[in-house]
Amino acid sequence: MSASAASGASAEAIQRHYDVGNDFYELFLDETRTYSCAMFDPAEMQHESLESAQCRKMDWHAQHSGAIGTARVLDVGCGWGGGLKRLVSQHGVQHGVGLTLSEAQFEYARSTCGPKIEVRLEGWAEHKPDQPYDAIISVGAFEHFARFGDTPAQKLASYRHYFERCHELLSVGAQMSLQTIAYGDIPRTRTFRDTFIADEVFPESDLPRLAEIAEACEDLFEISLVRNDREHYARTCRMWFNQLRAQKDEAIGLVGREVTERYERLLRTFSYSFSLGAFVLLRIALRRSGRSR
Amino acid sequence: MAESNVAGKIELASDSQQSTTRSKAEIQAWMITHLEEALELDPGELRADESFDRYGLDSTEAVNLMSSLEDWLGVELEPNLPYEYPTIDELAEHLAAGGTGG
Ligand SMILES: C[S@@+](CC[C@H](N)C(=O)[O-])C[C@H]1O[C@@H](n2cnc3c(N)ncnc32)[C@H](O)[C@@H]1O
Repeated sequence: MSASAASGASAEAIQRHYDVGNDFYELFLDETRTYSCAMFDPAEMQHESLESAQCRKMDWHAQHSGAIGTARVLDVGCGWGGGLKRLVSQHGVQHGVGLTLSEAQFEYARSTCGPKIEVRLEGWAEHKPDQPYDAIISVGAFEHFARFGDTPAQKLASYRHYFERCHELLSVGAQMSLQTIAYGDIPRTRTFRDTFIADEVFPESDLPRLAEIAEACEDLFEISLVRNDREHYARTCRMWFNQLRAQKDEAIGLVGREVTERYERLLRTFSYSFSLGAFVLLRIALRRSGRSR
Repeated sequence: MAESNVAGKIELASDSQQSTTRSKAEIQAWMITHLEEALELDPGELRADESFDRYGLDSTEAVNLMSSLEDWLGVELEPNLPYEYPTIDELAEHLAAGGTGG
């Protein structure tokens, strides 16, 4: 594959993380099976249920991608399909298409999503629909669009490739929303002594920086809004960790001790990293540039 | 095990350990052992009144320290504690007094 066509982690790498078992994820995720940062009511941060905060998050994306009441919406990295279900049931979207590289997610989403939703086991680089979309949403997938160990130029090329594809997939004047973790106050020159995350949790993946996203979408998309909600992810990860801890015996019965403890470590480390600002959580609203290319 | 939604609950349902009160001396001793190992220092090299910075404690190790401390003490802790209380002495004193947040 040429450098300019790079699109991040391979399907095998994605499956190593997301295919450990749907019943295992069900133990610690909320009812909507959302595996990304929620959006809490700031006044209720310590009391609101995770499910209610996940619905608020999806509503934010529906609004900021301009998806409400449209005919065709694409969800890049649709997980178990909870976001698409909300778009068609609450936001008047007529047809939703979801992409995932995880077989377990694909099987689950396909069998539960209903007739208005089409789920595909396919990466965004391969997706070639015959009609354009009115909106694109991508939540918690951009983290996989560049590879750990890429040079800055390779990372930028992968991200640029993503925004070029999105530009092609959207109709004129359409909007899209993007939610992703990014590096916070970790210096660019930092070499990691502890590569637990890259080695054991998210193979072949690396996080972006806000500046890289901004550069990669230049002249393809206008950035209309950026929010950093890292406290919301600290809280979300802590709630997942507490759920998993409380059901540790069941989890070990499903996936074994090693995997269970790897997820415990991941969730707690991420919660801390968001609290400290080492990671940030970006929600970005974008508008497709009309300039012909 | 626990079936209720534990969100918001401060005490951790650790599989090995219930929340226990530890004295300042016990916490100090635990931290010294943990950090000497993590930072590959010789036994006795770490002083309780020197700042963590001096020993090269970076954010990854601070996070690992707080994770292990949470499990050992059985309470949820804020990860900024080593920054707010930057020596073993100060941090142990804070934790022994029941403090969890920074
Ligand atoms: C953390 S999950 C988030 C799922 C969902 N958006 C949610 O919020 O619950 C990341 C998703 O990105 C998908 N993904 C990763 N790389 C992808 C790619 N190149 N193309 C399409 N989906 C991808 C994974 O299969 C997975 O469904």
